[in-house]
Amino acid sequence: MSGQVTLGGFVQRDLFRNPRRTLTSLVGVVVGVGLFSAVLFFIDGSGASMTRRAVAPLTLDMQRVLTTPLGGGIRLEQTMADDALDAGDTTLVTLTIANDGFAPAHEVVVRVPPNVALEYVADSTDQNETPIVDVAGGSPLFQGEAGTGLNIGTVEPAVSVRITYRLRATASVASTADLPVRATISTREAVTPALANAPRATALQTLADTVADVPGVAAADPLVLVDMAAETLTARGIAVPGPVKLFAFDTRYLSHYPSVKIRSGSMRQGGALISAETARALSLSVGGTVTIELPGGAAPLSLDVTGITDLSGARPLFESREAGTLEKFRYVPFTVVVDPSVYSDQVEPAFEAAAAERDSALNSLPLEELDVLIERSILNSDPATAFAQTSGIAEAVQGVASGQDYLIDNISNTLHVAAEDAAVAKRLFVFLGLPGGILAAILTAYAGTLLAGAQRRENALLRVRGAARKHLLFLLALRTVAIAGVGSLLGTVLGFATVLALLGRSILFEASPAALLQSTLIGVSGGMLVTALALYVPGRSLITREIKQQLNISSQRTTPSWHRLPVDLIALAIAVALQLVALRLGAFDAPPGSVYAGQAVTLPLQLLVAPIIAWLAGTLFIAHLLQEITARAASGRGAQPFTRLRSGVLWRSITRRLTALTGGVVTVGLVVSLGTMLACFATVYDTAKVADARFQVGSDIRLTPNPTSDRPHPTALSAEFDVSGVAGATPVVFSSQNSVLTSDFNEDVTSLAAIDPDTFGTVAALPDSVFVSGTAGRMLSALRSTPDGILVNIALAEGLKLKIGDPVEVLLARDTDQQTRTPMRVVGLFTKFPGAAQGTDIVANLDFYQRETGLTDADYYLVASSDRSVPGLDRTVQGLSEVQALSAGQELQQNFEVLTSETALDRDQSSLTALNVRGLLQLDSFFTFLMAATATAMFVFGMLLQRRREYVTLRAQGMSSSDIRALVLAEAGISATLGTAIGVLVGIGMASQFVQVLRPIFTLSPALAVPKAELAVLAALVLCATALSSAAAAFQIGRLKPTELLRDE
Amino acid sequence: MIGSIEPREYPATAKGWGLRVAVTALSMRYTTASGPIRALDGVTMTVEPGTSVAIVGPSGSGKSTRLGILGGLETPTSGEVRVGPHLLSAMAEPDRAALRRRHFGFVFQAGNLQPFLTASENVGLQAVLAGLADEPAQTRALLESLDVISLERRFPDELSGGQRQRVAVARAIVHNPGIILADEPTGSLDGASVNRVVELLLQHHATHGATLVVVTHDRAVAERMSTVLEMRAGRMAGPT
Repeated sequence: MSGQVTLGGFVQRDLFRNPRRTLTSLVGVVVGVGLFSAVLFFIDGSGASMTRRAVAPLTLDMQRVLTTPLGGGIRLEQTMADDALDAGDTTLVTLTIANDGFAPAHEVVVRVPPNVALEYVADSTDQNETPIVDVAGGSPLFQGEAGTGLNIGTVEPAVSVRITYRLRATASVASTADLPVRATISTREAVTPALANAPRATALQTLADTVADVPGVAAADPLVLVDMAAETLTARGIAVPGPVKLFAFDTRYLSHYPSVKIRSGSMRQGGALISAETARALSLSVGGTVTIELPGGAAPLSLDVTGITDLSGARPLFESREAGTLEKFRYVPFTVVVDPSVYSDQVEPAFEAAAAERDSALNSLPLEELDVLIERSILNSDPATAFAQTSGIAEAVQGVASGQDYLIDNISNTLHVAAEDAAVAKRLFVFLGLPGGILAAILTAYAGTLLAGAQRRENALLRVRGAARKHLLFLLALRTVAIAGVGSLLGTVLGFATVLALLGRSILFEASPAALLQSTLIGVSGGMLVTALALYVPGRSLITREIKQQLNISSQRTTPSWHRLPVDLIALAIAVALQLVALRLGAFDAPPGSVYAGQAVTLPLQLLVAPIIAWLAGTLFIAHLLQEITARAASGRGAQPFTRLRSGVLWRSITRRLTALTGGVVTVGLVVSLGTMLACFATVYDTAKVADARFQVGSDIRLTPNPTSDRPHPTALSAEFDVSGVAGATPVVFSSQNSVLTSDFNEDVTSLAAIDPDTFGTVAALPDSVFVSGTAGRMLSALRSTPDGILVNIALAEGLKLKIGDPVEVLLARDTDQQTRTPMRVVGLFTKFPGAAQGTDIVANLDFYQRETGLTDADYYLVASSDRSVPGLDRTVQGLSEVQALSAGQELQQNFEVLTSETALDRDQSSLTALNVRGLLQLDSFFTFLMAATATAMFVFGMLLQRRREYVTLRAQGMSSSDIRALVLAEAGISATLGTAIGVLVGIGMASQFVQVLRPIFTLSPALAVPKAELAVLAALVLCATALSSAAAAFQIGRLKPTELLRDE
Repeated sequence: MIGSIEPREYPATAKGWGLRVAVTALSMRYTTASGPIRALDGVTMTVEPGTSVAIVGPSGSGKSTRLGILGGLETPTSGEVRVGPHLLSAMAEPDRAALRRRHFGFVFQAGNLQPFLTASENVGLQAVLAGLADEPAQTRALLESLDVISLERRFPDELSGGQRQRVAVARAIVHNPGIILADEPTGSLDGASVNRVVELLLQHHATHGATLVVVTHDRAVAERMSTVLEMRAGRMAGPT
């Protein structure tokens, strides 16, 4: 034990008395562990905001939509004649369908899935005592493979229908009451099947009060929406010129949903809020009176106008609640808001009365829903955990008076996507962080090699004094633990400080203390383990080798195995093979969708393997190659006398110590290649993001007429855009499901974009890569030369079995008064289309479309800016706002929603992706710069440590200090230059593989880009670090004690 | 200043190149972690040109320090060192380097050959440093005279201790210096090699008249020099 204390003291003194040597090793460990732990803290900090960022843009967390809003409507009761059954017994089941509501229930379907314990008795079904024929030998209540129910047609109010059938027990049933009730009922009005014996419908306010008490629910607010016919909203005998939407909600709803804006006035009991468009159409202001025509013979409802609303930002109010078109946005400009008491006292009874009328002419019934806000502060920062939380809340919310509604769980859907995004983010972090971690280990190992080399003399002295191998190894272990321990601790502190500076206090500390503590422990312990190994292994190997040499076991010079064997070549071949296989298997192919479309992406971690191998093996291979070439050149020159002092010494020093030089070259090369890869990756990422945003917008700027704008927006308006900054403009007609495409094989509802082929190509972001049947130019040309031609999305074309040249029929302007069916022809195929990347199914010629439909308005305009920078885009928007035809004396934004590629980027940042890739790249780049400088400094100071006796001997021989400085600088410079050159080469190759992982993330496949300026900065930094290190080393050489060093043996 | 030291012709075999060394009140102090150390304390001595001097004394007595100062590798804390006409202790490092490469030859205990140069290149480098041409024939002749011609293409780590030291002697005398400073030149050699190395140094000293200063622990080596000076605790103990 005392011996150990002595050895410990020896190590302590050794470390303190050789500060340069200790510092050289320590810096490598600190920087390496710094990067490793910084990535951990970065993931903590970024991850902590993922949930918050994902749910931030969500306006409605959950919607409980009542399926039978008018007084309960249709109900299904199920009874069974017997309480218990023996095997083989039969029992009678009675289903009673009763319409307790005021409106007829149409297309009432009753469905009874089979039960394992009971089998259907053939020909036993009756409806109101009338036998119903079995279908295909089975129950008519569960028909065919699909298990279709029995359609009993319309059930009028206050009418009930009785269906009976018999079941036979296949085994004894102790209690028929315990059997699960499986019969369901659905109608055209309430398509969601409701279970038999469901509780009676709960009143909306009662439901709201109960749901509000569910843990995790912050608020539950009733909302009623009624679509009413045009001209039902009047004032002084004047009606609004279009359909009307009536809403009923209270002031609490207003406070919970700030997207519902009141421009003037306020909400008051018994009054009405009208939209700005209604106010304009009826020339009304606050204090006026608005009249609502009610159905069912009720007297018109006259209400005082207490406020003017702007509902154009309240998208959820106008999104469809119908299953087929769920969440489809259809803005209605003429709206009126009444308070719930007005609705329940006057509007609802009128609709009930109208619905109860035989041959009711009501087109739509009131829709009642409960909008639920979740307590967001309780949500876990991890989206996956938050998803589990919201799913649990959704289950609890749905459990309250279930069976009379359906739940639209927006928040869980969003978090589900966010959770998958978060998983991808973490994988991407590993993608980008792992090379840094590997480099940290390599850097430490390099430091370890230098340290071990510098320790040779001490080891020899200790052996002379009787130290055995085990003593030397013990000393090495103590030294390693000390350096790795202190280095890991300092590295973790450095990592934390860097992330704190990068993300800021508020973001980093959003992570839980437990998560940060865990990262700290992993950083210190993991860093210590890896760096300790990286320090210990080369030291141990050197001690073993020296002892063998002293014992004459092996007197041969040893070289690393990668020098002797073509392992680099083999590894390179493996990397190439892996990459080819991955490409062939489509591992990098994007799933349909993009981060912009709110869809999660996939990123298999195994794709990381090939680029990492290529990085390591590529660097080694090129260094190996250079070494071979240099060695051959040196041997070809033979023994030559000295002609020039500096070059003669330098050439011999380099060519005869290639292993040492190559070590420096490889280390610098690995660092620079990582830096190069990161710079390329960042550039590609940024470029792809901008390109994607531009593709998503359609061009640089998109002007979409505001729903509140009362001005016409003809396609010809784009000709007015000819102002400073505008390079071109083109009108587009596009809306979701605005057409039907019919082929010989089938037909489908489609979203059609009508474009002007003459201007679209120069204005829109239209890369050739989106077309599968030719270039963008050729496709537009085809559309121009064939006015009745259409371009079809490839997936749709496959579904309808269409190919180029096929005739089709297209229903244009679907669901409008101008809808018309016209024959057209397929002239091209595309995969995605700018403006609505995932939504465009077919593209038609705008002139042809207008001729056929008679419609003249555009749905939006695309504008190309001559300057695509952010200030350039701002200037162009400013220029557009000065166009009288656009602004009409108002702010441009009052008439148009202005979307630029920059604002699309911002929207992406705040809404969907949690992939703070740029941040991680900045972090990686910072540490790469640090490591590049460290690696260079380590090479120079390592050289100084190992060669100081050579330098003082040269001094004794009379070599001038400037010559010695020149030697150090030249050798370090050659190493750094070669390392940088190799690094840039390998880094670009590595980046070409790494950018493949971005393919699934973006709509447009990103292409490799090399940022020359950034690479020049990286190279300059490495060379500056070399110059500074060399200068410092030369200064140190001047301070060496020659007498002492020259006497050393 | 460097211009004051004129380069000489490649040495002929004539005698008379030896330089006089005069040391006056030389002191050298170091500061270490355990306090100041006085390595030399008012040392005064003179070595006449063409003579051979051995400096002996126990470890830590300041022998090597003095040799380092004589060679211009270290600057004394106080006192004067004059080599030939040059006041070495007052010269700047570039001038001292110029003086060393042209007029000094060093032999160290470990040889201290450059590990990346062959035996002949180690010798050739010194010639080039001294401003002479690296003449392979001259080098070969020198190595032959030292009986290491067969090793001329070997690297230092391929030589034995004795062979290394003979090459080191060749390097020290290739430019025919005026003074040869040898610090324990036989310290790590066996008996036969010790004799061989001492013979070589004395032979060159005799042939070319270079002043020879040898620091040694070995009494037998010391006694082969014309003068033996003893040092104790940084002071001259006088001729023995």
